Order: sequence, then C-alpha cells, then structure tokens
Amino acid sequence: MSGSRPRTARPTRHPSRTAPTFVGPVVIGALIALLVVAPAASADPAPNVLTADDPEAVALLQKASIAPSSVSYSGTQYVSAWSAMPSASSARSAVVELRHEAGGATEVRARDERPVAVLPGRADTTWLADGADPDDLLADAYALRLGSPGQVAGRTADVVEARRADGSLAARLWLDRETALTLRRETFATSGALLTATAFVEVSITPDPLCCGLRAVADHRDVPSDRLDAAQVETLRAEGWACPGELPGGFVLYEARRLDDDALHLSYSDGVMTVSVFQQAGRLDPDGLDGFSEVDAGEGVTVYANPGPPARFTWSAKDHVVTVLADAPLQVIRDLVSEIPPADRPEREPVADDFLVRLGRGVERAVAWMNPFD
Amino acid sequence: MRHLDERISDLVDGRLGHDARDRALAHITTCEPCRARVDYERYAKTVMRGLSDVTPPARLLAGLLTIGDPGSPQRPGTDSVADAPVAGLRTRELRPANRRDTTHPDLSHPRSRSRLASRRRTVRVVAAGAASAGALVMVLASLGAQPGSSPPPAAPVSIVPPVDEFTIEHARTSAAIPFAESASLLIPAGGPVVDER
Repeated sequence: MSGSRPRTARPTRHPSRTAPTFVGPVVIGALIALLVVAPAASADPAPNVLTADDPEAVALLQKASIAPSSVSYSGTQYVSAWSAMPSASSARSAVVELRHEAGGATEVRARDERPVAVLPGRADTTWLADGADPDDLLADAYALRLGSPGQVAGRTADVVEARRADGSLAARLWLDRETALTLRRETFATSGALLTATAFVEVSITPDPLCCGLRAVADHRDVPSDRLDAAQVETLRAEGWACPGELPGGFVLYEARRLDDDALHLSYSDGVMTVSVFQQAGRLDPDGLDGFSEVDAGEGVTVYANPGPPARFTWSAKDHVVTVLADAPLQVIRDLVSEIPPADRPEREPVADDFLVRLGRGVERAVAWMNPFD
Repeated sequence: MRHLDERISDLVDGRLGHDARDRALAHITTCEPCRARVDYERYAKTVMRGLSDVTPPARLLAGLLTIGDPGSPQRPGTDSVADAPVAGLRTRELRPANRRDTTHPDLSHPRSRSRLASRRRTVRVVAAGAASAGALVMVLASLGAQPGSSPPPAAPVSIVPPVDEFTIEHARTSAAIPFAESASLLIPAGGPVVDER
C-alpha cells in the first residue's frame, strides 16, 4: 500500500486496450468522437489551495443530484475502473446498456448478454446523512469549480470540477446542459491517477417515464438485506460494532444494512466516491481468502488486500472481521485501518473470573471498606 | 416437679435404663409440656428415618470426630469412620444401654453425660463455624464479582468474508450516490480484471 503510481496520461488508459472483447465498431467510433470532442482528463493539481465553492457549480450539482428522479433515459455507457492500490495496475472495463426510469431504479445490461442487474436509486435507501444530500457531501468535501463546457454523446455539457484542499483534482463531472443529467464522470486519486471513468457514448433522454416494465422488475427484485435507521446504528455502537459516523476525508455514513449472514454493511461517500465497510463477528481465516495478499497498511500494520477494482481489504479487528471495498483513494483505507485497527493476535485472554479470583477481589473490597484512611 | 429436659431424647431413643425409663414415662403422664416434647421428638425421628441415608465424606467425618474428642480412640469394631450413617454421626440404637467401656460410657453416669454434652456442643460450634465461614466466603465472592461480568465468550468464529457478495452489495449502495455509479455499473458486467502492466 505504499509508494505511488506514476501519473499516467489518458491515452495509456484507453479503454480499447483493456477490454477489446466489448468494443464493437459502433462503440469504437463513439469513443473516438468522445475523446476528440471532450477534453482529455487532466489531473494536474491547481497551484493554489482552494476552499470556497463556486455558487454556479454548486447550483449545477444540486440540479444534477435530483435529475434521476425527473429524467428517464436509456443509452450505452463505457465504464472503466482502476485499482486504488498504486502498486497494482489492474483495471476493469465494460460497455453497458442503461435504462433508467425517472424516480426509479436503473436497469443495467452488459453488452455480452450477461444477466440484467437492477440498481436501486437513493429512494431505496434509508438515508443516514442527516441534512446532507449527495451534492451537499460533495460540496462539503471539496471545492467546486466550473470547468470549460464540453460535448458528450452529441449533447452540450457543463463541467464541474471538485478539488481537494491541496488543489488536486478529485472529480470532474459533465452535466447535461438541458436536463443536468450526469453524462460523463471521472474520479482521481490524490496522486492524479484515474480511479474511475464513465461516459455515455450514446444516450436518449425521454421526458416521459419509460414503460412500466422496469418498475415491475424493480419491485420484484430480491432485497437481501435490512436497512438500519440511526437508532439501530447507535445500538450497534453500544454493542461494540465500529460504526463511525464519518471518516477522514469527508466520507459520511449514508446507509447501514444488516445482511442475511449477519454481516453489517456501512456505506460511506464524499459525494463522488464510495467506501463500503463490512463487519462480521469472528476472526479472519486468511487461508480461505482467494486472490488476497498481505500488504503493509502503515506503521507495521498488515492487512489482506485484493487490488480489484474495486480494491478490497480485510483484516481482523478486536471482535470482528472488517472487509472494505473502496472506489476511493488509498488514504481512505489507511484512515479506516487507524479507525478500526487490526488485531493481529487475539486480545489478551480475559482473566478467568473463577471463584478464587472473585474471592480475592471481594476481600480487597471488604478491606477497603474497613480502612478508615481509604 | 422437674421436667425431663435432656432425658426426652434419651427416652425417645431408648437409651434410658429401666428405672429411669419408668420414671420418665410416669412423668409425662402428668406433665403436658414434656409429653408434647416427647411426641414431637418421636414424630421428628419418624420423619428422619424416612429419609434415605447419605454417606458423608470420610475426611469431613474424621475431622469432626477428631475436633470433638481429640484423644478418643476409634470406635471398636469399626474399620472406618466412613461407615457411620450421617444422621447423629453414630447410630444410637446400636449402643448398648448398660454397657460400660471408655468408648461408650453409660449415659446415666453424670460424667459421661457431661462428656457427651461437651462433644455435642463442640460439634455444634464447629458446624456453626463452618456455616458462618461458608457464608462469609460466599459474601466475599459476591463482592468480588465484576460488574456485568459474564461467562467467557466462546472461541471466535473463523470467518472468510464473502467478497463477491459484498462487492454486489457495494454496488447496490453506491448507486444511491448519483455521482458515484462507476463501481455499480461494473458489477453486472462482471468484466475481467485486466492487468495493464
């Protein structure tokens, strides 16, 4: 987990080199047009430290945040993700078909006829980040700026940039000028390397809701978990589960679920990146892990990691096994390891509360009661 | 009129001599309190006989007998003190009423009765002391209990995280963030991981 991945120019991460299986002639043409029309990603840190938000950028993000609830669309999107681990150069790319109904879920179908997935929207969550919408999370974590407008899939887009306090670029969003729908997005690690990139290569935005078929699919999907409210999360904290309400870097707990196998799933986001923290009672069995290797999480602490993407980390904490999935810079993982430290060895065995020990404590207490100077 | 007092137990147990027994029986015909006590002790004896015998630990019995009469020899004809039934420590019915020896003195003799009473008091003191000590130990142990202490937890369960399932859950919840759908979109595709090096 140490070291830094050299900043890579966008052409070296051209999708066609990573997933040739999915790239058909139409998609290739669209991608070429996209890359020619849209400005290349540049993660060069700004020279000056930024703090204040551009009001116009904030207003655009607010509009974009609620756009999925009022806009139906369908189209083809190119998706790419790179591992958050600098030492790993693994990536995953795909071309997917999207179909979204205003206010509902999003149907996702891979181009190679893989099964359809239906992803719930925010309406399907128990939102725990009180008083903070997704755009608020973004505005709280980053300084928002307007970039130069661009073209995505033949549509004019306004560009909003989110920069960290040190001026480095964290995310760049292309928002449809007409509907505020997010047409293209890129996120960057603190080193400037790309973490994720998605873009419509073709999109059809419809003012009227799509056919009821999608809603029917969404209504009948299998929801394998129970959502937890704030009071239940507080109860879990009292029971010894690590449930930080916020992680360093502006990542806020926005959803908590209890999965079928009694695992606890905590979801954090800064508005543009996400981190999932899973916890299970017990101790990690490293021999059962597939594709994981030991990595140094700093200060001599070792965790098990799979580069992904998304990058996955797991370790034994005090009473629980912690598993983290992150579409976020590696620093977030380091902060999490500090927040929920690994326990490489079992905690010191509790002193047996046998009869003689209790008797000794009782004698001490009785003597203390009788001692007038105590 | 002099009440029977300690002789009530001897009367009930048949340990009085012939003359003493006649005098005691004559007394209870006219003394209501003594008759009531005799009736009560007979009833108690009947109830106690209905209980099953319990053999005491040999060390406990030997220790109590040693404390009660440190200098007395072991009863003749008894190989082990553990053979004695627990009720009354020794079976009174087996004692010959008129037999004279150092181990089983004639109870009608004032000195022997005094020794027996002394032994009984000693045993009672020892028993009371043991009970008091036990109660004290229990009180101290309860004082020494840790607040909220519970039995030690069972051995922790060995866990292999279901990473694939977790990845899908991660995608589901990431979809709630409109600007962070990248991971979500990759999950259904299940595209291969490519090493760019």
